[in-house]
Amino acid sequence: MQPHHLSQFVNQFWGNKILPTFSEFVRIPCKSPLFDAHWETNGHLEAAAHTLAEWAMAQNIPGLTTKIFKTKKRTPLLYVEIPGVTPHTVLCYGHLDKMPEAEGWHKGFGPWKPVIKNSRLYGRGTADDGYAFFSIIAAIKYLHQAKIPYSKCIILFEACEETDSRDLPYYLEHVKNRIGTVDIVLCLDTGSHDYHNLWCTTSLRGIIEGTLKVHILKAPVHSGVISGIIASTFRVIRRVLSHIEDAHTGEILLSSCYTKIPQEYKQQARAIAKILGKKIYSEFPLLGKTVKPITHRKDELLLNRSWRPTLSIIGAEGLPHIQDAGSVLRPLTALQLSLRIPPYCHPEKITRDLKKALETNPPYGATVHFQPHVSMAGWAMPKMETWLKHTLKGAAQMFFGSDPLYLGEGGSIGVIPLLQKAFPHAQFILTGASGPQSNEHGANESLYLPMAKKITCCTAYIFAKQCEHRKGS
Amino acid sequence: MNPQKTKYFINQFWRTSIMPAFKQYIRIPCKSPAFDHNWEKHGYLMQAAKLMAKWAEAQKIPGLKSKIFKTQGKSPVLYLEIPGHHKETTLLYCHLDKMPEIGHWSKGLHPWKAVIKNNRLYGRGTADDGYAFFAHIAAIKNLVEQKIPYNRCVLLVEAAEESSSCDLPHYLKKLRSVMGKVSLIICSDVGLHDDKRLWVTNALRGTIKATLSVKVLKGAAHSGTASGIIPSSFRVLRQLLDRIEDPMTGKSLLKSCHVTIPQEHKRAAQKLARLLGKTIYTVLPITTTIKPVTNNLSELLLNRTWRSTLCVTGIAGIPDLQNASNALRPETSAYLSIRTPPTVKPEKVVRELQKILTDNPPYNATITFTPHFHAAGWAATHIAPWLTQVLNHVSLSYFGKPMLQIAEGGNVGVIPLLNEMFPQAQIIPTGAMDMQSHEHAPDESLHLPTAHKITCCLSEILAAKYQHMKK
Repeated sequence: MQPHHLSQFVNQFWGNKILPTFSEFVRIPCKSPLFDAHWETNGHLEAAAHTLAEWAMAQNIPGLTTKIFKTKKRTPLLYVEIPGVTPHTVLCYGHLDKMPEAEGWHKGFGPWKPVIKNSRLYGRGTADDGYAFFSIIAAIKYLHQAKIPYSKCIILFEACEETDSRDLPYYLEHVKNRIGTVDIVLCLDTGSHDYHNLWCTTSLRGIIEGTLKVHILKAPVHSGVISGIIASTFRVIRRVLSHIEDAHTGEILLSSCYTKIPQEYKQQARAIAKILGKKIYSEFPLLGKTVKPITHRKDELLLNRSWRPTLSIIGAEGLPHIQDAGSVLRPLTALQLSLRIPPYCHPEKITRDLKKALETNPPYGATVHFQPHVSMAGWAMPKMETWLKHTLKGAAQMFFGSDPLYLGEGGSIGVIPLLQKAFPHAQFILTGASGPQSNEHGANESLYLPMAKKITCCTAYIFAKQCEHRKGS
Repeated sequence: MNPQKTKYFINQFWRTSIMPAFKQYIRIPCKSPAFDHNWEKHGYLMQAAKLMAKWAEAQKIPGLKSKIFKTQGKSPVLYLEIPGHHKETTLLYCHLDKMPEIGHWSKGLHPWKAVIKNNRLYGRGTADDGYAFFAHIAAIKNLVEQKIPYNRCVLLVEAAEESSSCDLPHYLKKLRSVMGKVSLIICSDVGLHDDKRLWVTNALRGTIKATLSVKVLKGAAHSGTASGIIPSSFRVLRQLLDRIEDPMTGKSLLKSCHVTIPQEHKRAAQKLARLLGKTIYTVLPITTTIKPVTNNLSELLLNRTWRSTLCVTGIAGIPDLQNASNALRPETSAYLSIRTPPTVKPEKVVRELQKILTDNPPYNATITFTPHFHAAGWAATHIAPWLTQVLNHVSLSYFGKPMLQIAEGGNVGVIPLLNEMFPQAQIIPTGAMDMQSHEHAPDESLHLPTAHKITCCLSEILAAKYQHMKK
């Protein structure tokens, strides 16, 4: 394999073949079902699946077949099969559904408007996760054209990832036999912390989401008449929250939310802390330079994010906006809790503990109810075989000029534990082109094109080496 | 004065003269300026003032003169003078502005529609405080009809009470000299706790409204990548609120709010607690499982009237449940409504809040405390013996039991204001609002028989005032 040749091909292919269709894809407002109640009648998800499928078909890759699965009421699944010289399948996972618009796009930019500026392609679904489909096809196309053998490759592109992949288990049952034995699962949907290195995600946190509601009054009462007699629901919710989170330290007070952090992850955190330094927190849009992270220990920050539980309050109900605030004791306060949990922890057990901690002995006999909506396990990478480690090292050295960086992440990708369960012998490569300023879920989402191209090159390299290894063994 | 005659006249006057005009008044959405940014353009406040003035003038009260004051940019004030038979003046205060709609009204009811059901008149501004104007005029009209002498009366009807009486000081400055020597002030904007007696307020809490904001980020970050590294603004908010209020007990941690409660008020609370019993909290719209903050009933009353409490009444920076997404949000702001003891200067509490909340910000987050409004509380000086006697007498005649003085937990900003302006005057805060009135909430209503009784009481008080002057 000639890296120079590969880079040149990928560069051209991105410019000539990918960008025109990718731009078309950006224009489709194919929001995930959670954010588009009429997604089925709108048909944007299916339109996007067709756009990608037709484009893949047009690339003249021998034997490539596509199929769009669509069961009534379920989002479509784009399935692509490319025969290869070994049956040791590489399963590439990605998603075509997008997050909603978000406020605050720069002038001249917009979620459904592809714009290239300073080597970045702006638009919703560019970094998360549309680029992945194009990158995988480009990688195979190169190998085919350079006559480098590759194994059988399956692409699963779902349309429901941002809605907790709720339709994927159904389809997975459907296509599992067709897929066969999976050697490697490749997921290009995680992120990078800079654009100088190949980042590999070694763990993911799980998540529990639910609504905590404290109800005391049947109707609002003038606060002058009642305050001091009946407790405020906001105070009761503060008190109830203090059963699960220490307000001063942020520590989660449920023992089931903790796991022993493996030594290798502690080492990873220390190594990455040295590389990233202050970027660990300065990559966030901090308000001024004065805002301090939770601790000054940088490796601890990384472990906080990936191996420790954290609580975020992401929504509220029962409280009017400040402009409409009156002088009343409101009947209820509800908060949407989002609890990230470490790998190895059991979300069902935590949900039970959470419910118990929140609901037992409700203060003042208030109606305290926790309604869980989402419960997803975390994930820690199964041990990577030596040859694959070497492969990743080779790819990183060749296209980034440095060793790959391994790090546990804080987000949750429900599909990864799902795929691991379906394919227990598979090895996992989780990486991605989204990085600083990609703003995946916010305004001004963008893909840094040079990074996408490097990831494309690495993907081609991995395909080639995997085939070489399996053919040899 | 013949109570039977008075009752008869007042009941009839309410039915035939007041109700038609009152219903018209209910139809006017004359929301207080704070709740209607275009109030000046809408002109509803002016419309209500004109309606009241015109109605009052039609009642043939000798010498009655009305004038609507209206300074550019300020809500109007309706001012009436009734010469009476003695120049020492009684000031009757009420307000015509209304609270906004607030939430969903029950089927068949509407804030701007007058509906009578089970002796209650429903609609916004019925109990708070539209009835008071009609009651004041009716009380005087009764004396005219029965040829009973009374003192000079001035009626002050403001249109910004629910906006913290923001325009009243301006008009009071102008009116002070024409009001004359005010020795009695009746303010019919408070409530009663049962229908067995006349209730007179002897203390009010102060109030502070402010926004507390905690900002950590300029834009949202994904909660997966940022949580554990960047502190959550909601947690910082909890930390800050913990500095001013114990979340376990609700006790205020503000030093400036710790006052020694006067013995007489403690005794009054004990007496009242015995009388009201569990109704102190059972009258509130709570489910059967809900317990009050303590089982000690007199402590509950003191909590409500002499202790500081915190209510978080609004929030910003956080989406509603449907739009909640997994983000570490840049900021959380809470609207704080703080009640302060009657004798505490709210400025002092605001200063303490500012210091406690913004000193040593956790994680150096940007904390801003923006006070929007504060008003002092009020504790009554002794009521003169003749007046106590009269109040007991009218309470017995029209309600059945002697009157009760009670400290209230709300704030009527105008009372400390009038107290300051007329320090020699006796102030009688009373009113027809009962526990089912739901002022400031959906389904506001006035219990009409109570309104009639209050009107009778006011008429008697005005007559007694004249008799006392003559002695």
